[in-house]
Amino acid sequence: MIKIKILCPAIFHNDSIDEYGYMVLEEGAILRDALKKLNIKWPINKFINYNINGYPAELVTSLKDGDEIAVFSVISGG
Amino acid sequence: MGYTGKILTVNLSENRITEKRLPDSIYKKYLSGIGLASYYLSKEIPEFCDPLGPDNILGFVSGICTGTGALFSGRWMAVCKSPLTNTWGDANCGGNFAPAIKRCGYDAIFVNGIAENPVYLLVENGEVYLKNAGDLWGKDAVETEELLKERHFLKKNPSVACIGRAAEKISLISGICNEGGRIAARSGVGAVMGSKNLKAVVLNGSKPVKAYDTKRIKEHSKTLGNKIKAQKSFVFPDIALKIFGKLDAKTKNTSVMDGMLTTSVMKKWGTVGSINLSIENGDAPVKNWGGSNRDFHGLKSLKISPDKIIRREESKYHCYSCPMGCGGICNIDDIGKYEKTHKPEYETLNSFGPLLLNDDLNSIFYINELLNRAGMDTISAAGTVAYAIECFEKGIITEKDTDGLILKWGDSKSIIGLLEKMINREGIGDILADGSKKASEIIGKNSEKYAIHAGGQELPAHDGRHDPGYAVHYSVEPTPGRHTIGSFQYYGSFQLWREVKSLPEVKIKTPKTEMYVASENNAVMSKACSEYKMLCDSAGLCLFGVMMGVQHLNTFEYLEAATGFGYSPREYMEIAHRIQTLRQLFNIKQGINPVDLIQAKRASGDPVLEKGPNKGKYVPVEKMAEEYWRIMGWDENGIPKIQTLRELGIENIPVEEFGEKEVGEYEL
Repeated sequence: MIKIKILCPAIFHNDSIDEYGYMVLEEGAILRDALKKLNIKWPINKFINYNINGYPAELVTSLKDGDEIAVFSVISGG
Repeated sequence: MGYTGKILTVNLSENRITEKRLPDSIYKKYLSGIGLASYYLSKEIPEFCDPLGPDNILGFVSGICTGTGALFSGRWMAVCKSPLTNTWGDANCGGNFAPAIKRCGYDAIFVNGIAENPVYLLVENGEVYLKNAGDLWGKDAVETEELLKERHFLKKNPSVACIGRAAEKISLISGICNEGGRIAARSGVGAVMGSKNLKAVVLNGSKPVKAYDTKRIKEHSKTLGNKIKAQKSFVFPDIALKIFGKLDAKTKNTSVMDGMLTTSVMKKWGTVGSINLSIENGDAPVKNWGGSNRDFHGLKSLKISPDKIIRREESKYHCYSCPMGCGGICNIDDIGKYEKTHKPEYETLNSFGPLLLNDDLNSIFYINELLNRAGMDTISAAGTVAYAIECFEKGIITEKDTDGLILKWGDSKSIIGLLEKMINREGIGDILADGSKKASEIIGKNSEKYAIHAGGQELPAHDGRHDPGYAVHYSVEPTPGRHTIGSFQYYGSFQLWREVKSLPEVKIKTPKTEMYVASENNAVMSKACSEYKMLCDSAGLCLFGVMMGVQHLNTFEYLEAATGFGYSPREYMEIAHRIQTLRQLFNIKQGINPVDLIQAKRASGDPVLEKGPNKGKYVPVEKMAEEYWRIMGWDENGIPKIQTLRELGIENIPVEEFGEKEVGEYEL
């Protein structure tokens, strides 16, 4: 099993992540698997942006233990 | 290192220009930028100083990372005692002025006294001059800058900070302009410059800036730059953010987000990108803080959409050392007398849009350029216009008072008419030119409840009823009414707990209700935001860079690489605590009672809104302020305790020995 962290807007929160945003996945999981657990599926997952460890990723990008995924962040300001 | 070790001081009354060399110990204790300014102004500005008098000091300060190769390090600050709030005053600005200060060989330029006639300060090729500005006085800020660039071009354009007509007429809501549309807008810093008869500061130098470990800075900048470059474009039209805002308003938990993803929004639209999200989730104040998205719904908000704004954008604008480029230059030659303008910021768009129920986007573009040229703060100008419209609506002022202008919500013609009166100080404009608080004191008739400010500073376009962290910072900061210092959203995005282990990590599923409590945890987060912003302002870093999070832009890494001081992140935060406490002490010396800076009741939800995403929300800001002060080591009235001053080593500001030499020539 692998443990990853997900930062995402509250509209995507569900029981698949704990209070600090950690999610447990099967070894060999890809980004699509993590998003599916958050109920982020097609077509939404085609259009929103996500990063793994700060860099853009594809739905088929492999995940490893300790990865940090960021999903669709918009911080207002200015 | 990262600092030059020298400041320039100019006494306009005595025509005396002096270069002072500061010991390393000052920088080790206060860093540079706002830290250096807090030290110097605390020492030099007397108690109960007249902010428009000769004893007030106007400073132009650069950050310790500026010029070292650090990304996002192009911010400079104007500092002084504020004539608007009578507190510590400062205003932060981008553009290209920050590195110019360092390239002239200085960390800061401090000006006191009052010139007999209008002058401008020129630093060129290592020489310093005070020049006659008689031919420039009366010109707007854009014309002034263009003329001075042409006059003093030497292999490259100089960098110019100047005032427009609003500051010449000592409007207390005027600022200092750079690059034709970047402005150090808040605190009435422009009025201080105008009161000194100082029209401009022109800098043209090429001295190198040395960092302690340039290689380390370059490595961090390369990694950060690569990440930003790699970010995918934001493909959604802005209506998607409107939907997102509506959904966000319904969630029960707060969101903790990774700010790196926001760069694609910033690159595409700039800061206006979030306007529709903010209207729908309650972040954006509407109708002088008395309305909601129900008053600025659907078609109205789509008329001022970011997609419409960028249709006018001809080119991107990047401040110095910024890889993101949230700015832009827009073509507006079909709107009125101006050809181009800097793309409006979110604050300007919301303040002249939903705050006034104005959906005429062309008028907002026009107003943007009008106020850039006049050198007037758009946030305060809009807040004051909102006050006036509400007074007119309630019959407190009439057509007789406004010389026939009929003030109405959403009427762009009357809004522009009123602004022109304010810039020229004509008729009722003479009262309104000094902001809503002063106007309400003159107009009276119980109108002060329509002036939405904190300590005299009009509130920016982030509603504390949506994020109470904003309400706290508006009310407790030594510069009241500031949105660029902290909020609970910012704390979540800064992610400081990764570097400062004593700070609490935000739980992803924190209920929103916990934000509205005067808890120790909330106060610790607010304190951390204040301190982190002091570090950023000492370093010269941009808020939109640090908002990405310390896991991407590591401010502590940059500071350490620039200075080589050997401090841990916690030790840097302690320096920041010192700076913040010194600014608060400055206020106490000036006779300020911190409790008087608490924000307007309406902005706290007194009375509560009956509609919209902030319906029923109330922020116990007085209690939250007390908790913040307690955590800062200040008493329940916001006065720093003597024990805290001793721990921070500022119970007495030492009189340092400065190496000093007179420089400068006067061509008056």
